[in-house]
Amino acid sequence: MDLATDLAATAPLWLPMLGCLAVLLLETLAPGRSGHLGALVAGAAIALAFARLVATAPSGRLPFGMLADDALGRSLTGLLLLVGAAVVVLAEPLLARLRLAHGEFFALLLASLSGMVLLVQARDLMALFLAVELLSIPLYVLAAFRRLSAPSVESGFKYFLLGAFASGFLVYGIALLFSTCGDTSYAALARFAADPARLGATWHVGVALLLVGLGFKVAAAPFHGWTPDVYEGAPTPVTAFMAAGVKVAAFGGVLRLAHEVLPDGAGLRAGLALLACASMLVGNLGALLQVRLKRLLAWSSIAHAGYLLLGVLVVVAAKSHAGATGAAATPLADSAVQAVVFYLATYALTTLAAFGWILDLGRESAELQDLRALRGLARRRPWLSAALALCFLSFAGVPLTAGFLGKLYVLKAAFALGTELIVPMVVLAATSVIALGYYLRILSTLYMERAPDENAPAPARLGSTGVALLIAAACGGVLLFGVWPEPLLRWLGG
Amino acid sequence: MSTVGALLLGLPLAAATLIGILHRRLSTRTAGTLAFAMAATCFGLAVAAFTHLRGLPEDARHVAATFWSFLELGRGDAALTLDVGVWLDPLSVTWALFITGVGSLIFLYSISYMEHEAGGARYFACLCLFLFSMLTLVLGKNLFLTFLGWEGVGLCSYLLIGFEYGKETAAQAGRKAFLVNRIGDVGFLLGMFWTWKLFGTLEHGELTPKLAAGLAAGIALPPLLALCYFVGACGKSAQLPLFVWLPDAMAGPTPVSALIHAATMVTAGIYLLCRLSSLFVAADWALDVVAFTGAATALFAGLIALRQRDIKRVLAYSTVSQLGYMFLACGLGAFASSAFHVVTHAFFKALLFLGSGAVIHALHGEQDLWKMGGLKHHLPKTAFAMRIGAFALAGIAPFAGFFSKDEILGVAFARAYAGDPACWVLWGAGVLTAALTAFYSARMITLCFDGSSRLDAHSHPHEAPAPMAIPLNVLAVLSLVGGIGLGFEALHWLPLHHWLAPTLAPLDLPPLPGALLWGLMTLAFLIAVLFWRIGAKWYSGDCEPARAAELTFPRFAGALAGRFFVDEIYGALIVRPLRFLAALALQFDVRVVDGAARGLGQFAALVGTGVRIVQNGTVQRYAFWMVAGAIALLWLALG
Repeated sequence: MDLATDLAATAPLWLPMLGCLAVLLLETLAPGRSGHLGALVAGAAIALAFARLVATAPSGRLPFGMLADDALGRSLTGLLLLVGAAVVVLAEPLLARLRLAHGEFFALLLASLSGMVLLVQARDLMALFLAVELLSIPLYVLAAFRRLSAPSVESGFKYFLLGAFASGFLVYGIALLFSTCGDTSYAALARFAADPARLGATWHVGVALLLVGLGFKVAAAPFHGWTPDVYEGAPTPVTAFMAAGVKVAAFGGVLRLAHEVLPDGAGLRAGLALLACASMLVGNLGALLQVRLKRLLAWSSIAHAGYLLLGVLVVVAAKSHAGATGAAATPLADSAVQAVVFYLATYALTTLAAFGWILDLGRESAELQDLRALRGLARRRPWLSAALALCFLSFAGVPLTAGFLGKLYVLKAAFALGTELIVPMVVLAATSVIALGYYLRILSTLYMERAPDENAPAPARLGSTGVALLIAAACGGVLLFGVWPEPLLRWLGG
Repeated sequence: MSTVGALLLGLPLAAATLIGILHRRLSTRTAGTLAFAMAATCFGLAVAAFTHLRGLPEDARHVAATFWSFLELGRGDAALTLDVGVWLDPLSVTWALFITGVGSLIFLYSISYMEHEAGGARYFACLCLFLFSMLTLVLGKNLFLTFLGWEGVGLCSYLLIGFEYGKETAAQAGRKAFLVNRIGDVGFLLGMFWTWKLFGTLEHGELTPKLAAGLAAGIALPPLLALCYFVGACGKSAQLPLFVWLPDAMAGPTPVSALIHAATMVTAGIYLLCRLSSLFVAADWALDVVAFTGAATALFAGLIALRQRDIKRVLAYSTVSQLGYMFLACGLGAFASSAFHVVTHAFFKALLFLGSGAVIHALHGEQDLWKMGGLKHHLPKTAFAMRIGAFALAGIAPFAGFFSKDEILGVAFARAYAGDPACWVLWGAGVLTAALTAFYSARMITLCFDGSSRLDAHSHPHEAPAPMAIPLNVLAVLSLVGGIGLGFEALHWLPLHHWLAPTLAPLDLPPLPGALLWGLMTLAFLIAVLFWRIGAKWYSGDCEPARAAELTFPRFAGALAGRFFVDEIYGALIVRPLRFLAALALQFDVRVVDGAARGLGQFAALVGTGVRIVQNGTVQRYAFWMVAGAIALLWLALG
């Protein structure tokens, strides 16, 4: 083991951590004045990490024996770093406005970010657990960052309690898997699982508990209860970080487990299908009656977890198809992984735009949380309305947006297996129609309804150029990748 | 060549985006100059593509460029690959040439025309978007892209007809155009699905060979498939019975009428027929439907044009009528003649619209022919140019329209001569329409420019500024030489036909003997001149003969002036029943659906209560559901 090579290969992982320490140091040296500086340092750390990531090619080695340096890890890492940078852009003006411009925010953000990066690169259950905790603990604090706002504190506390509960499932699952296999590395687990005869009850229970723990992180039903409350209470940039970042990271972890470790089996299939269908149904039905934008996005994020879980299910199920032996990957599984990663990228992009929108117009005040406040907005804020409309069309999967292709690729991967996964596929199609019910309702609120007072001044905006540019860039991406997916596919494909 | 193709689509899109984003900050002149520079560059690129293709051997004159793959679905036989790319061949390049050529002239004209209008930059953004869509329609390498462009031009047409959206007529006309075109689009879509099912491809380059192979293997091509596309073409190219939107579309600014509703977009239907010519030829009786629809439309619209007061409506109906000629030619299998007429029509109809725009501009918005008269003294240059355009439209030699129209009549005659009696009807309708065309062209010119002035006393019309005059002059020259330069059948000078030959289904018809050709030409020429003279005589001075004729046949004259009451018939047959149905549905809605909805609402409230019980914010409850989920997973894992 050459320490220097390992360190060089894992720069995107420890550079944010280093940035975190630097911000904390700044906060100690110049208390109260580290707000803007913190954002700058955070931005620089993420930019450096991204530069390192782009400049080097994946080596395929196992840094520190526990991490992956492969195409999947790298594309997801890149995605996470972009999400992190976007959250820095979102958070900086809001914190200044709320007079909460403390450096700790960015330190916590960077710490959580490095946890996310670790999670998508983990190839060992110990690294996985460490990553989940490193990701979560700073996030609990971030959710409660507006410590004088009751919903914010409630949000952080709820997230913490349930997160700790879920971690218990996760760590117990890891313990069971270790007890049956005697090792925690993915390679050893895969070797062990190659012989189905050896897989006893302990293994199956261990995998199920692992799914509970990770299902909580991806906000899959029935482990979703925290999502609406926490999304609504947390400061909007933190919500964006949860919705985009945690989703990408946790699905990255699940995807790698599914791809490299878990063998296909009726029980696992049934479990994943249950989670997928429950999430699609609960998420979309829950969103149907929502009148508050952030809660609506929370429910919709549960529904999207369901669509993504169908992709994970395809990855697992594809292993028993043509030419597959044991847990070895097949082209079908690879294409399913691609589909999920593409979906994650489009979802993250759209989510960032949507939460950036809420931040820009809502300025963290409660009154714009109500959808009725958006009536007839298109007449007074045409560009902003168009941006939100585009986001919702993409969430709904309307053609010529990136969301359409994401959903299409997942369905296409599922179709390749014939009718084996017909039930979740039908649920996906049916719930997509339900989803149109609430996505189009917002479009109609924006465009068809009239504001109660036509002469009232247009709602004020946050006035941050960074946020406006971010929304524009994300919307541009949603449109561009909706008609020209190739660059994104190539980048995500490594 | 793929760079040229990419730029041809990319430049208009970039210009549309740029002007669209900055439309509040750009002046009309800046936006217009930018748009014109872009259109002129596109014309240069189209010329480059043309010279490149010319340099290739005749049977290899096509360039396919794939930029990226949009979708790949299915495997094996059922694979559907939708690529984004261009397909350059003589047919698409011909269309691209006149779209960008006539287009840049109209862009230039618009700079002056729109100068005093509000929202000029928005206008140019729409115009650039239109150019992008139209080029996508024509150059796209498969039917899918053609369809996207097809929808795109429909959208731009809607936006530009309703450009002055504050005006109720404009907004209504925009909606009408949009709705009527949807009927056609359904046909196009169905045709596309069916084509893919039968031949497994939508690529322009692959369709003809696959079709030939399929026919050789004994697949019968359903005529209905061709008719699906024909319905699409009817909507876009304003044929019976879907033509009603085009006259109303004249509510848009006049340069838009020239570009979209005369020269380019309305010929998209002809493009589709030409593009799928091999399919239409193989589809049994489908072509007969095309021919008869075309002839009927030509005659019908020609009749209506006789008595319109609004100068733009006269031109609109004449456009419908001329499009009917083009459909007639396609229906007779003479796709090259149809394309020939498309090109010459683009020249002279754009000229006529731009000239009428100059008149309207000079009269500060007056469009009523009965309030014009004697304008040749005030607008001598415009009058001269308009007269050339009208001669071309009337089919008087040696102006452009004569050669292309005569060729279509010649084909109809030749088919009849070769022993198809039904074609006598088609030929007769064509000749009658030619007479009508000459008559109403003369009427329009006489009422507008000759005789004594019927203007308001305080009106002082003045000649248009240079940016408006230059396009008029260029188009006047093209209307003069564009016909004889591109084809003269009797002299066997058919460069356009030879150029298009590799891309179109050949005409299976023995050529007429030379003497007969010359004879037909002379006949057409004489009819045109004669009816021009009659028209000019009837409407000069105090229009005494015209009034006498109206008094003799009051009901016919009334029907003509009332446009055969087509809109009223639509109102009675379609709109009123739909309204009735809507009223019924409303009753149903109020009595049945609302009742059910109240029930559902209670159900939803129940669900909401259920959700609230689950989602009541208590952490313990959330944890309970997590445990329940975990138990379910364990049960599944062990079961």
